[in-house]
Amino acid sequence: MAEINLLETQGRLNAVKEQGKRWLLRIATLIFVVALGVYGYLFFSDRSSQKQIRENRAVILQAQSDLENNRQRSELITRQGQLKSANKLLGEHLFWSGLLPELARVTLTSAQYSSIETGTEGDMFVTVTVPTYTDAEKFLQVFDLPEYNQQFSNVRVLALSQTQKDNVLQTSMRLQLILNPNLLRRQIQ
Amino acid sequence: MQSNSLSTIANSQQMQNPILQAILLLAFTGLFGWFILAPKFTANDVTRTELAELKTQRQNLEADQVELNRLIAQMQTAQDDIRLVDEAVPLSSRPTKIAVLIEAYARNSALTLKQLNIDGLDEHISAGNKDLADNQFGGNRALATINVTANVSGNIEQFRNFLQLLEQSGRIIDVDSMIVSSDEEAIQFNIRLKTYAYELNTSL
Repeated sequence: MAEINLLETQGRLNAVKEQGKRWLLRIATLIFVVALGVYGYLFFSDRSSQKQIRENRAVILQAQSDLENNRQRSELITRQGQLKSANKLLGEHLFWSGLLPELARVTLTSAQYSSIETGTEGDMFVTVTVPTYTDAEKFLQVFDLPEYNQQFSNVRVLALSQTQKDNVLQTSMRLQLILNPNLLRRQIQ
Repeated sequence: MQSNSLSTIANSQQMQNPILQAILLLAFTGLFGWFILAPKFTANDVTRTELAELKTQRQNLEADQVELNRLIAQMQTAQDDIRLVDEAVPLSSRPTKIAVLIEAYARNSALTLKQLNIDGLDEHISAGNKDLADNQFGGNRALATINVTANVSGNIEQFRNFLQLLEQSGRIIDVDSMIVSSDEEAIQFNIRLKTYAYELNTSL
């Protein structure tokens, strides 16, 4: 009776083992099938991506060619450069017409100018003629007053001489002045 | 003989063992994964990255195209502004145009134009440029500076009017330097001017 029971237990155990082996095989098969499935997905995904790459490349080449051959684009680029240059130049533009009236105001037309040399650097060279040394002194004193030295300052006397012309004594001075650059700047309307 | 032996192996007791079959299958799957699936996965990843980059490039190009069309439409409706810019910085540095302009300003301010020099004329083609016949906006352009020296005579008021005309000119004309000198007859004004053109870049 006891032997019969042992045989039954052994048989059940064998059946469970056999079933376990079959499940293991099934799982291994499932993993293999999944791997095959993943490969299939990657294969078709890659083909689809390659197709899209070809399409996108063709569209990009066409768009680049259209852009490069667009004549209005050339005009647009030219106009943009032109406008940029014009804006830059206008921003740096100086207005010289205000210089001479201001110089006349400062020196109160007390002197005759025989030469005025100026440039965009800010230095200005003038040669003035006055009757006497006293007038020359008065001419220079004007530049010491704050009202008058705002636009013209740092006056250096480069030369001072007196000559007789048509029986009249003339005092000449060659001066170097610093010109305030703001005098030449004006807001563009 | 060989198929017989293979059949023998397949039908053998060991090969019928599910554990052995599972191990062989797993080993085969491992080899398949290592040598076929992993390289395919890497290749697919590279392709996808390339595709994403191309898509971004395409989107950028399409956006550029839209922006270009918008700017072209804007340009076409701004013809009056373009005329002003064309006058301020013309596309040609033709010196005769500059000479005509300066001469007119001197005449209008009652100054006598004694001398007019325009420098650097050989750098650009002034007329009959065949390269531009087909597409007038083709080629690379850059800002070109044209130096003009003018000697005029008259009085201070006339010269001031001349300077004002230069300032109000539609073409941008900058005064670079000026020398005023007086003699027995009249005051001489030697003025150095700069004007500009958006010319074809000859240095390229």
